[in-house]
Amino acid sequence: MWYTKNTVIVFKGVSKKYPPNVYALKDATLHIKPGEFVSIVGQSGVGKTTMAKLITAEQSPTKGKIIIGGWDISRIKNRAKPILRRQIGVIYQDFKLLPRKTVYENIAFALQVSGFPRSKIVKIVPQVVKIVGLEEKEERFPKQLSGGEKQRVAIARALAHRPKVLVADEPTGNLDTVNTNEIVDLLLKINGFGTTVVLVTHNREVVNGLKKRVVTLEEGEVVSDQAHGKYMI
Amino acid sequence: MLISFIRIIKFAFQNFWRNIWLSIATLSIIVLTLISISSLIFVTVLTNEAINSVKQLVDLNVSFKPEVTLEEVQEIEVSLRELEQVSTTVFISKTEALKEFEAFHKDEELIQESLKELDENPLGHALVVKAKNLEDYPFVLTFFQEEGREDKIQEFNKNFEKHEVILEKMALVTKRVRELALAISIVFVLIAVLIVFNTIRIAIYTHSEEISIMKLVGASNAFVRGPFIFESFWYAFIATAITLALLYPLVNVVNPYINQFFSSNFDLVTYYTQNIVWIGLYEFVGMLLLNLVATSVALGKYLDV
Repeated sequence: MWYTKNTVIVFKGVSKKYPPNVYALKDATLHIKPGEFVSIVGQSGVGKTTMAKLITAEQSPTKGKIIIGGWDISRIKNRAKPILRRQIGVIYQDFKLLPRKTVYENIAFALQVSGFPRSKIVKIVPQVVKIVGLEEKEERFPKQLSGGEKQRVAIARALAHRPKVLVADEPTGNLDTVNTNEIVDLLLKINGFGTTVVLVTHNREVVNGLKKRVVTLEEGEVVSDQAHGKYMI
Repeated sequence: MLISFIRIIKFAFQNFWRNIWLSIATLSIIVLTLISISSLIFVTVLTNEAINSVKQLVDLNVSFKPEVTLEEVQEIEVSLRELEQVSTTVFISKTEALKEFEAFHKDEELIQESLKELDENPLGHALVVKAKNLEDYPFVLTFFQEEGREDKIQEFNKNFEKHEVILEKMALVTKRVRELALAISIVFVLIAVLIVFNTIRIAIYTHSEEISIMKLVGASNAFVRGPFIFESFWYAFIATAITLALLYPLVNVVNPYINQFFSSNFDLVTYYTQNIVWIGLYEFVGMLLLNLVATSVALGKYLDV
């Protein structure tokens, strides 16, 4: 059996074709276990971000199956997407923070959309703010924060509803070395809590420093999958 | 459900306040549109009032021959009132007619002396007839031309053709004025709809990035849509209130000029204060529907994330 209960993310022969005839992913198969830290690496345009978008149902596969936490999302309906996204934390290179909401409100928003009561929100938000080290900046708006701080807010927001999976799509792409290291440390800390982390990156130093599982993509195909890998290309 | 509803309202107010300049710009456009539509309402009312004033001046004065009895005239009046084209009839007895005649010619000695020479009242009874519409007068005139009635009328045939021509021309002019007002109204409303529609679309376009972020963190379509829908309601409500408040002094300023124009008792301020609730309600509901449609259409393409 290609799928077992001991997997949190499964890609089974997944292809994604863009018109007219460009394949972003070709017959990709991948199993990720709960609590793993997996780096998806490769050069620009090899399908890394497509893979992240398929996990969050921003896109749907042309062929194949995607199972997240036992749920086949290959043909997920629009009305079910919010339910999936409330179970996955996602962070992006461009942070994607709500510009007219404060740090506190950005994090709280992820809980409010899930219908969390206020009493829980006022407990959870300060906890995650503390994890990312932004205790003094809860009332600031995104434009009043540095790039590294914005990414910490995005991480806090992704963590707020305690997802089993955290997808980080080029989270250090806009950051300097110091902030990059801090964000990677934070991801490792989150992984230490038991959260599965999928890191999509083309940053060689980051990947090589992690010494975790590395999946390498080339022209949309999985060309290597190493338990304690390095950036090969 | 209740928690989500309260949050949606809170986010709507937060959006409104934190985008205050965009909110003010959107509100200003809606207020200007509503003021323009209100002006159109006033112009339509004034046009109708002008037409009614002219209509009030038009009637048919039918003088009967002196030998026609009171009963005969009353019988004609009863038949006349049964016609759906007739609005009112006023009976003037031969005594009243004589008094009016004497009063009208009080400075003309020859006429006064001639009247004294006569033993009997030379005038007959009369009927003053007002039709419902100007176009109805020719029909009313034909009523008097029917056999058995025409020979009882003293001064009818003399002015018939002249009346008919004037009435036909007046009916044509008022019809054209109404058609023109309707055409201008349609064009005006279309322009207003396009302006408001695009203003709302631009306002939502500025939130397009936020909408996709909301969707990516797990917000349902209803949760994203909610604040915008409530903002539409809020825009329509505030804009209507501001418009009604601004119109009051404006109406007071133009009212003296309108009073000068109309010799009748029509007063625009009185009309406005008497109809403010209806004007406000129609404008609020119209603007709300327009805002809701514009919001729903504009949001649609950004929700597909």
